[in-house]
Parts: sequence; C-alpha cells; structure tokens
Amino acid sequence: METQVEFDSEGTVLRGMLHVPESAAQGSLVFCAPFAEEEKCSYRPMVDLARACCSAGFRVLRFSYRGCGDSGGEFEASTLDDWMVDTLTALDLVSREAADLAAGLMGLRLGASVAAQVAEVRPDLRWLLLWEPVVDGERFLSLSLKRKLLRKMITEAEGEGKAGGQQSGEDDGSMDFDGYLVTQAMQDSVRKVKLHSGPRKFAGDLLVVQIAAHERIVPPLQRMVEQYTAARRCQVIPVIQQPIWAMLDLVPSDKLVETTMSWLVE
Amino acid sequence: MSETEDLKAKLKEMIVERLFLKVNPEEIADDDSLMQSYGVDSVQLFEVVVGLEEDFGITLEDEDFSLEQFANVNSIAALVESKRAALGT
Repeated sequence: METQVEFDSEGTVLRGMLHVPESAAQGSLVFCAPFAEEEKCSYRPMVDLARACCSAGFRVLRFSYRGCGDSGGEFEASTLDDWMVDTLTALDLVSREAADLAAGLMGLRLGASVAAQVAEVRPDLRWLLLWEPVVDGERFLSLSLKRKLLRKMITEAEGEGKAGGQQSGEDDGSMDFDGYLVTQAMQDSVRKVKLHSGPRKFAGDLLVVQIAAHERIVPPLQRMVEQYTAARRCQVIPVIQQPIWAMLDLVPSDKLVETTMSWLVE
Repeated sequence: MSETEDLKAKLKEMIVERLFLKVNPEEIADDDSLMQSYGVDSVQLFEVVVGLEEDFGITLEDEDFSLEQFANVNSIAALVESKRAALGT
C-alpha cells in the first residue's frame, strides 16, 4: 500500500510517499533523494527500489526535502544541513509509527551523502544503502559547473543563443544549475561533504553501490569505505550502469535494484 | 606506437567505455565527429570530461569548454597533451 504523507520539519510541511508492506514489516527505510535536477532524472529508479523493498517486507518513506518536489519551503532558502534535519525528522516519523522495527537510510548521490552524515548521529540505524555517494562536495560543485558549461557550449552551438537564466544570481555568489539557484549558503554546506575523512561511527550494515561504466572501484569511494571501521557489515558493489541521475531518457535500473535487494535480504 | 597514438588509443577506449558505445575503440577514426558520428550529447560529453580528469590526470578550466576542443579524438588528444605540457608531466 502506498500512502501520501505530510509531516512538519522546523515549521515547513514536507510531503512524501509511505510504502507499507501487506505482511508484517521487518524494517523501515527512509530514502534520501539526490540534488536538484538529479532528483527528477532518477525519480523512477528510486520508486522501483522503494517498491522492491516494500515487496521484501520493508516500510519505505520517500519524501522531498524542504524546497523540493511537493514539499513546502524554497530551494533557495535551503542548505544541506536543513536537509539533514529533514531526514532526521523523517526517520523520527517512521520510528514513531513502527517503534519496534529497525530503521535505515538509503540515498543516491548527494542524497547518499546526506544519509551517510545523518547515520553518524543516529547510532541506532541498522542499514545504510548508498548509491554512488558524492564523496567530496567540492568536487561535486566543480563538476556541476563543468556540466553547466558543456550544456551552454552545446546550446550556443546549436544556434539557440545563450541559455536563459544561466547567469542569473551569480553576482552574489550563487550559481544556477539547470534552473535551481544554488546559493552561497548551499554551496558552503555541500563543500562540507567529505566522506573520505573519518573514521566513521556507523555500526550497522553498509552497502555502497558504485554506478559506473566499469567495475574498478574508484579511489575516492575506496577511501570512503575504509573509514567505516565500525560497520558490522560493509560491502562495495560495482554495477555497470549509465548515470541514472543525469540521463534525459529513462534507463533500465533493474540490475541496480536487484543488486541492492540481494544484499538487503541476505 | 608514438605517445600521441597511444594517447588516442586510450582516449578511444575511455570514450567507448564511459559512453556505452556499441563500437570497438579502434573503429573510431581520429577525426570522426563525436557528436555527428556517434550522437554524443551534453550528458555523454560530461562523462568524457569526468574521464579526462579521472583517468588522464588533467583538470579542465572554463576556457577549455569549446566545441572545437571536444570535436573528435584528435582535438581531445591535443587538449590532453597541452594540459600535460603545462603541468610538465
């Protein structure tokens, strides 16, 4: 069963979808969405995973951070720290409704980084599922700028002139990423993401899924995983897959979902 | 094989792998237009940029983002060589 939910986070109404299994649940998971446009591109794979988890007996809460999706608030007024508070609030909600169940977090890209940071302050969490986490926030911002430059380059070459709104707000240090105004405060909060520094306190079961064109585990991800010395169980699995968070077209994510579910129900 | 030829061969491997192209790397001609011959779009070009930085050890700056630089394997190889020369590697 899937039910729309609303809850309050520091005075802002957050909205989401709660997936409740038909039989007795064995755990609760809160999903942390990726950043801005990446949330839109990866929406369906996240729904697919939520439904697969639900079929396997997990209660799943998908929700939008403040300023995103159906939730209240303004994107421009939000920071990653706010989204961590929202995630903690979402965890409180699922814990309150199913207090006897173990809980965990799942996240994609910057959502995975949010999940990893929240897990540091919630020692009771049992599961942490990270799909292609952003290990270094500074690098994420740098690459996001480069993606913007590439799009601008191609748009201008196609004779469409300068992309509208690309430069807006940049005088005050904010950056326009695909129409999302990323303020200086948001950038500063993203820069604080350094998952390769540690050690990390999370003591539950950790799955990191590398989503790439190859099976070689990239050094930043390897360094990040090495920080989880307290984890009860820790595994990095490479899945050869196009970047689901950046694709304009829907791409199959069956392998991602299957890999994650195999690990989760093991 | 000269250093430049070796570089081009590695670039082709990287491009085919990261863009999930259904061609053998050696089938890509040095001057094939990536956008026109292989339908490479901005999303895929971004993967090339990430590949250049992660696999070839260079850092691209704002001024490097021109269509001419990313037109084909020849131009990308020239970009990598100029970046490496600037770094002294």
